[in-house]
Amino acid sequence: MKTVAVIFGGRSTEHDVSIVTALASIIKPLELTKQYKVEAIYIAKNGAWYWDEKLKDINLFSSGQIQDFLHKTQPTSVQFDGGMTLVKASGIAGRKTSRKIDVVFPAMHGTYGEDGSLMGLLRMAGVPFVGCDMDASVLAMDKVLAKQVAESSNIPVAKYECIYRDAFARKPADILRIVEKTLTYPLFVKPAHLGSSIGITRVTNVQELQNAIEVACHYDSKVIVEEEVANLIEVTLPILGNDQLKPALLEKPLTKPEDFFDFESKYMHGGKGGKKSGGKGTKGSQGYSELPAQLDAELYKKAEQTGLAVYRELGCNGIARIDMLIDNKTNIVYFNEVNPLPGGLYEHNWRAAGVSSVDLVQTLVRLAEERFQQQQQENTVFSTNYLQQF
Amino acid sequence: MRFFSYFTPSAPWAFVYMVQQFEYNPTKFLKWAVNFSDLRKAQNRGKLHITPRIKLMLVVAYLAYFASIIMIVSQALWHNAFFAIGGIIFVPFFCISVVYVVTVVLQKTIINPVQNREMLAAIQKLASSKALRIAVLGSYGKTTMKELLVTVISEARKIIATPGNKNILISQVRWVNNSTLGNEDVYVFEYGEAKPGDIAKLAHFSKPEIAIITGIAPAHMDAYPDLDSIVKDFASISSVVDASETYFNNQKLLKDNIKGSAYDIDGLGKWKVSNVSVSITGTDFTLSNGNDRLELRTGLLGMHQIGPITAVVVIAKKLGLSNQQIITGVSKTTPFEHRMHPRQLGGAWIIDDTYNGNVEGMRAGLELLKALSAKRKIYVTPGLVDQGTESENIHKQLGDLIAQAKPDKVVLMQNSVTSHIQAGLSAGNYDGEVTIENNPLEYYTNLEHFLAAGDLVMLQNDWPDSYR
Repeated sequence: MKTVAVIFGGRSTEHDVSIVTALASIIKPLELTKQYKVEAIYIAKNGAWYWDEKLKDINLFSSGQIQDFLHKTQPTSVQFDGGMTLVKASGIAGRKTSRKIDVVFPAMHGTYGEDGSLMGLLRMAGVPFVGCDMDASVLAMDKVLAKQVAESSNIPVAKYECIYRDAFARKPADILRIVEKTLTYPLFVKPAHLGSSIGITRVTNVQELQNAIEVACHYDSKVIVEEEVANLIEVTLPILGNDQLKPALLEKPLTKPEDFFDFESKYMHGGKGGKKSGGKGTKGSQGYSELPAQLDAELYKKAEQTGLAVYRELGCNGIARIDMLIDNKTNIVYFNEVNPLPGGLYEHNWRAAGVSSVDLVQTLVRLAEERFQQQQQENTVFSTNYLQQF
Repeated sequence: MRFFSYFTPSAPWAFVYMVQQFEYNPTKFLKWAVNFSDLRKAQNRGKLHITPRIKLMLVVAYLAYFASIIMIVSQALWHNAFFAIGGIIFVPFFCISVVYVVTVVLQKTIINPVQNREMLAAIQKLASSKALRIAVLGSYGKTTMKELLVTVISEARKIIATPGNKNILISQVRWVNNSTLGNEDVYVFEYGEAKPGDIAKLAHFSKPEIAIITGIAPAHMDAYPDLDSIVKDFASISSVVDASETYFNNQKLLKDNIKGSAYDIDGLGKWKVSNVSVSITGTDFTLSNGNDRLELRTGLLGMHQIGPITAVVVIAKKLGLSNQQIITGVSKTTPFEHRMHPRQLGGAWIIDDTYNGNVEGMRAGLELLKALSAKRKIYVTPGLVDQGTESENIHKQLGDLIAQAKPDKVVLMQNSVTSHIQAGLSAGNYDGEVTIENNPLEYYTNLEHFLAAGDLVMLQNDWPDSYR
């Protein structure tokens, strides 16, 4: 039986979301397959790694007992021995328990997890891992880079400006002037690397703009300011696959531009921040949404094709969710951003698309192994006589 | 671990629980006990219902358990340690024997005389009633038939039926004694058969004017040597009910042995069925007799429901119901919980048929699964309990039936009949996916994780954890 390590938590503002994704949407279905031995690896907010069966219990986290657990438990060592092995003290006569990992299932959102950092580490370790590879994760988690890649492939994006924290701190007035000159209100100000709508503000004047940039700079050294798309229909599309892509259903959050999801409305009130309208709303992991999005067939197809094109151009593998903005009058579909590890894997959407939670995690593990096999066939060693000169 | 579960302090509790599960039948309890089922699983899905009899049995069982342990420890301390170690094996056997003896003694000395008095009172109460009595018997489909009769006939007549699964003699006796029976037009009695002679006793008690035999299939084969003995039991109803008032499911074995009118998917006598349409939300058909024509729609699923509904329509007409009353009554029939009961789960359809416990019922469910369209079809079953010496053949037949229904995936709950179902699947050249689950409770409680929109899942029968 193969061992799959699910890594969650991490030094990220989305630490808590990651715990729910891991325990509810990944570990449980993986265990139900009865095909894998599933190991839970929790990365605490201070960056220490822990490996224990007890970490599979949501009550440990929801009750706050996790702090007591961390206090009493030795962090785990990770051994890179041509693969990846977990090592921890067994508590008996100084002996250690170890477990060789066959596949890693990252369940971390945001910085150090979803942004390519963990993927780089796993590539170095030579262990197959689920989801986007390092380069795609880096692109996906940088909203500016992702838009630049999309633009280079003639995929429409809303007009935007990139601001660096240092530059804004030095010359805020210059930055504000440039933004006002190139973009038209209303604008959205976002930290370039954060997900779950953290630090996002909608602004309609220069004072709000300045405040919003300051807030965003609090979370990130790179900030994106972009124009609001008129006559907006917001849609999102989860996609699965390496070479052969399988889109789930186009989903439309039932919100207006002025009450876009922030973290609070997305996760803290069961998604009730989104306005419920009509009878076709689905209360998924991200609150009320229309699933599938009720668009005319041509527009639906266009949005789906845009999502698939972005997935390919950014080099995504395994799974990702592509967020898009549609101008309902011009029918232009704008790429907005990519989420390389959708919260809860967006399993509600996959289920509606005909993929069960168990099938989803099994497919993702298979895709990880397939990509790893392909990478193993690439030649990374080149023999030369270079050293013999010395 | 299974063996060691017989030595734990929870063992006496489990023994008493199983006596209650076997309705205080000491023979069934003894057969189960010597089969060394896993006591840890015995109460996974049920609880001991505490009654004065159970309290007494618990006290005696624990006295036996601790007395035998004290005896062994005293042997070990003062006499022969080897003898004491050997004696440990004796603990569960002593405990089982005591529970068995207590069950028998209580039944003969206290329970039987009390029940005889209760029976006399119930017979007198029934004798004072003018209501028409309908008996419903058969290996399967009794509850559905009973509910059909009540739903349709209540459109015009006051009707009452034995509630829930009160289908053994003493439960019906108590129901009569405890109910405020009086001004009803019709009583419906559901007859349960567990051993030869049960039907005759029930018929002698309730003396029905009409009888409906819903079908015959291998069931309770631990008590009945063969199907002929079951049909003989069913045929005993003719000593009370006239052939002109007897209706039966058109199965060869019943037709050869029962005098009366047969019903099936084609109709009953001059009543003919046509225009049948089956969907996940119900069944439509036309029932006609010359110019008399009824367009019927029921919420019940499957073509196998048409025969029983036809029988109910014919009885309803005899009782004077109008066509409109019958059509309205039939339209109100909906699936009963755990019997071909459809429900949605995250965009998937689940047909819960977990109360189905015989191969004919399984056949009907599989025919429905085959008839309905779905993106992916999944069939889930543990097989059937109490199939006696025919168990292997029946489960091979079930495997073959599953293969014919062609579900995309078959999920079998691991137990003693799993290999027989697999053999039947192979014989039927089934080429879909087969998975074996060794923890049914975990599977059922996490069903949503296995399903997606467009799936159709048929759950047939449930297997008590106390069986192996």
